[in-house]
Amino acid sequence: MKSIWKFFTSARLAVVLSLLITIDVLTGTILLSSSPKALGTIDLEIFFYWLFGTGLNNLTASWWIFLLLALLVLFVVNTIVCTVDSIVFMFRPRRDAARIKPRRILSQAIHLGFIIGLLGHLVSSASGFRTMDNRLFEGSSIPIPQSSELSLRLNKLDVAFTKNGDMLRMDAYLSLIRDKRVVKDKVVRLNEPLLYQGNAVYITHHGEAPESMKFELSGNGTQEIIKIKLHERSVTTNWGYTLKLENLIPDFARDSKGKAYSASKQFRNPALEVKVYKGEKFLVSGWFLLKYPNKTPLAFDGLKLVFPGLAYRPYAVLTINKDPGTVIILSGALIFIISLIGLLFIKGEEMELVKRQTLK
Amino acid sequence: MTEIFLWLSIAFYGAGFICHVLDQNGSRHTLQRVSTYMLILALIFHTIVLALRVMETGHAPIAGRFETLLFFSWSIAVLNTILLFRYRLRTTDTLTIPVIFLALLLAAFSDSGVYRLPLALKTWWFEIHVVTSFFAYALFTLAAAAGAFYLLKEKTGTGTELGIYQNITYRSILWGFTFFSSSMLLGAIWGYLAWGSYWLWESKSAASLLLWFYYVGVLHTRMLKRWRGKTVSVMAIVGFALVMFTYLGVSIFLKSTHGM
Ligand code: HEM
Repeated sequence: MKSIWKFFTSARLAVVLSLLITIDVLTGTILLSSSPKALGTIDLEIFFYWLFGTGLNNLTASWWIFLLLALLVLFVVNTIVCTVDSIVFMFRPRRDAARIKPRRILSQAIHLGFIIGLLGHLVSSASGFRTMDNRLFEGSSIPIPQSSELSLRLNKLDVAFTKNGDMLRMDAYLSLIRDKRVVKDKVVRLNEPLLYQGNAVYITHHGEAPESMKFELSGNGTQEIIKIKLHERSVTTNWGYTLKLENLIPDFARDSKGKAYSASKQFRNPALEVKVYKGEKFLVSGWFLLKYPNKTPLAFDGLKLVFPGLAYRPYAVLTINKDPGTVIILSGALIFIISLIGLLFIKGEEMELVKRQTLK
Repeated sequence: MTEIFLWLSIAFYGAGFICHVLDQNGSRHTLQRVSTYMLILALIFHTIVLALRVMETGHAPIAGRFETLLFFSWSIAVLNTILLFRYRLRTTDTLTIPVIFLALLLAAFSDSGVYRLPLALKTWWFEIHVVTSFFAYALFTLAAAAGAFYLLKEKTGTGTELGIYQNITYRSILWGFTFFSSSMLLGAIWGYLAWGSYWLWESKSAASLLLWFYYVGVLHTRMLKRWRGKTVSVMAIVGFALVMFTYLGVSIFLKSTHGM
């Protein structure tokens, strides 16, 4: 036992291990860029889930990560043993006070910061979740994953571009809701996520999806806009007319024999047949084609019905993550860096970039 | 305008360097003084180039190869000036000024077009992340230069002289390591805020990780008698090669999403 302890107090071991890690990660750096297929999905999942799934099945590209883990385990044991050893040494009774030097204390604080930070990585590699491509439409809500009570609502999406097409802003006005009560409002934009109890919500991109078919009914100097939702079949207007959708072809095309069919399920080029009623009374029917909005107006009762196109509804594409390790990592990192800075500025000639007395 | 000052600064670094080399044993004081003035002028022009660039682009000079080369070399030049005024030390100039000179020359032939920063890069976190990493690179460069001088003077130099080089190596690596660790933390915070992950497994980040572990190792040789002196000087030089790999090699030879 004592000899194992002694083995791990060795600073030479620390140097050798750090050199081995350097060589291992150097190989990894090259593999990361040469094996995008095998390693490209690594950031999409929680690290350990990936490692023991995809990673194990692609050992030719991922072996260095397993080796890195093994070396890190040794290195951490090395660091813990050294730190404990050093702290015990400093505070052993009946030693002269000179042993407790600022430099020594700060060095051990650095080691402690590293250990805490790595512990945070461990937590973050094995817990939490990552979800991408969550589509949230303006005015609607989605639940936060793995949470029974939290949901997220998009109140407004504000996107703007420059004349050259560069994005100026992409602002999502979000509300986080628990039990029908808003617990947090936040304008989420690039670099500014919504953070709440370990959950983090990011906007990655945006888009818009067709929501309804829009018609214009005009005559006698006035106009009414009528919308039929994509999944609905009819609507009654304020003026008392009923529009019934008889046929709907989302992506209109003709085959070689001239027969109409839908080239896809997307609403790229919709064609629709509409019947118009006044109460029970059938008035008129006809086809509308998106590509020819004004060519085929339906006329009845001195009014004109045209189909200018689809009405779209904007949506934000969100990444929703939870990573309970980050707070621990941040604490460790701050202890680490503050102690390092302390080490640079504690008094004494030794702390200069060059020993001054040796220059004379 | 930027171009004129860039070439002026390259010329003055070159001339200052030649004067410095002609006076290797430090006996010709006038020549050494001329060299100092030239290098200071070069740094002033260099600073003007950076300032003009910042005014032109509206962000810290850290995006694209042209700007990073300017900034990397500027950090080394500032460091040299600190060494000069605080410690009256000029020997390492013999190695660091060629690095500045080459970096500026490379910059002069790089694409200097002004591009809009993508929205994700428009944040202080990113800017300080890059700035601190280049300060670290500059300090690691100085450590390597001192290491090289240690090896050159190992047979002929006095104990005091070797002690100075050794000290510069350790001290600048400790400073560099502090900047580099800060840079990695800032990068992690930025990554977390920008796309929800404080770490991405891609080649540039991995190269930074290896550099970090490498210098942890170098720092701890201080505790080992047999590694001090010659070995640590060699390690500082190898470290410079790793710095160049991380800074330039990854983006030139490997595919990286870091896209610098
Ligand atoms: C990733 C792990 C580690 C990190 C980041 C780290 C970092 C540091 C740093 C920055 C210093 C100050 C260096 C200086 O003053 O020049 C230091 C000092 C020291 N480290 Fe580590 N270290 C690590 C692991 C280890 C291990 C495994 C050992 C075991 C041998 C160790 C033993 C020491 C000792 C003995 C000192 C000097 C303390 C003193 O000045 O009294 N370190 N460490």
